Amino acid sequence: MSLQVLLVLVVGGIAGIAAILHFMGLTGPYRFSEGQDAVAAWEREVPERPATNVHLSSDSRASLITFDGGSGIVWSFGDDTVARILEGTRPLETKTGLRFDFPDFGSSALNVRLNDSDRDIWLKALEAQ
Amino acid sequence: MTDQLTYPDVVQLAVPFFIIAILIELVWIAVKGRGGRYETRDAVTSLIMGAGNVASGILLGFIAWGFFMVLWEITPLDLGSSWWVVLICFVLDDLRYYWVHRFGHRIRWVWASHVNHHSSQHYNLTTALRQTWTGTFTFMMVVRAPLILVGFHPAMVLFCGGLNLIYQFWIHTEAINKFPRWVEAVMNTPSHHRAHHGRNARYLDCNYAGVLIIWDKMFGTFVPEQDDDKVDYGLVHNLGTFNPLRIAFHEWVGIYRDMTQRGLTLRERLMYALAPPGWSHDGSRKSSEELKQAHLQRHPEDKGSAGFS
Ligand SMILES: [Zn+2]
Ligand SMILES: [Zn+2]
Repeated sequence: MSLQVLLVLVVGGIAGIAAILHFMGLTGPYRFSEGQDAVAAWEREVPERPATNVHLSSDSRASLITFDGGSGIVWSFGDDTVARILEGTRPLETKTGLRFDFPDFGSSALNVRLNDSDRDIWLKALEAQ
Repeated sequence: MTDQLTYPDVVQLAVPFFIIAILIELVWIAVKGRGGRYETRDAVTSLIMGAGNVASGILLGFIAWGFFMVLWEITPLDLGSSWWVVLICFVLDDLRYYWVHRFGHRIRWVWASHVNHHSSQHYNLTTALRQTWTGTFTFMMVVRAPLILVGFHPAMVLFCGGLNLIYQFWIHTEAINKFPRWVEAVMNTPSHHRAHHGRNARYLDCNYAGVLIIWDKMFGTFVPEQDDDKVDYGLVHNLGTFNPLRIAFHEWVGIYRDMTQRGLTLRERLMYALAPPGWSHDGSRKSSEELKQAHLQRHPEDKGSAGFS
């Protein structure tokens, strides 16, 4: 097969499938319907650190988790969730909430939507660790 | 002259078939309301990884090809190209695939390349195309050396490898539950390969097969999918990114950072590249054996069941 045909097939195929999926309503985002969801998502990923406290973000797409001796964050990732233990990761304050930059190369930066009062709660909980 | 033996690049030829099959699976899921999940960014990421894999083959394929042709020059043996030679080549190359895949899960250097095939939390036909960009750097082409040295032409070996990958495409689906018992006994099937993609402790490091599941049974790595332990797809530590560059290179970056940290002995530095994933010099991470142990501590009732013996 010529390179041109291959290129057209690959680019067209990806664009077409992306469009179909999007118009079928299959583009995330996952939302936690309650704190218990976030705990389940956390314990799926970090079963050895049971959650002691949960603080959902204002848009329910992320949650701060505290456990014995530390804290972590679990967030919506497409139709799924991802969790990270926060080991010395301190967030930056942004206009819309907090921004987390993770040390591992396998995570993009995460912007969490928090109104002013939620942000205070998150910062206090992180401070307490 | 078998020096000029040529076979079509079957993986490139299969691209239209891949696209059509994905659309069929999508319609099936939409109509039936079961049989798998799709998410736009996840699927697009998988497809981009697949395109990058083909591109890296076009750009870097000459390295493996050059190596194979050197071996072909050296060897005095030539098995020719009759159909039964191709058949034997296919079966032996499937055995080759088993070991490369097993090394891919048990040697971090090789895992750094293979990990991205496991980086989706979904399991659908697009997941099959989530393939590595860095396979050349694992040097796993050496595992093919014996095949060429005993007289299988490099073009035939690559043809068989391509057919093997195409076979594996269609088993990345939840739309098919199980086949009749004799099929499941001999062939790698959607059920067996779903277990391979599981991050559940039970399913870690099992079912490395390409086409024939018999290799796992022979070498003691077979774990059947359990109805009471639904497969949770993805990595023990799932990725938090859809960025193809991060997906392709994150484990290589991890190896680099681990190997270059201060105060390690030379042995420890090498272990970060060559030991199984999860090895650490200070015991701060868990290997799959330790993850299975930790699971059994939380769930002693699973002791002795499939995947925990
Ligand atoms: Zn694998
Ligand atoms: Zn797979």
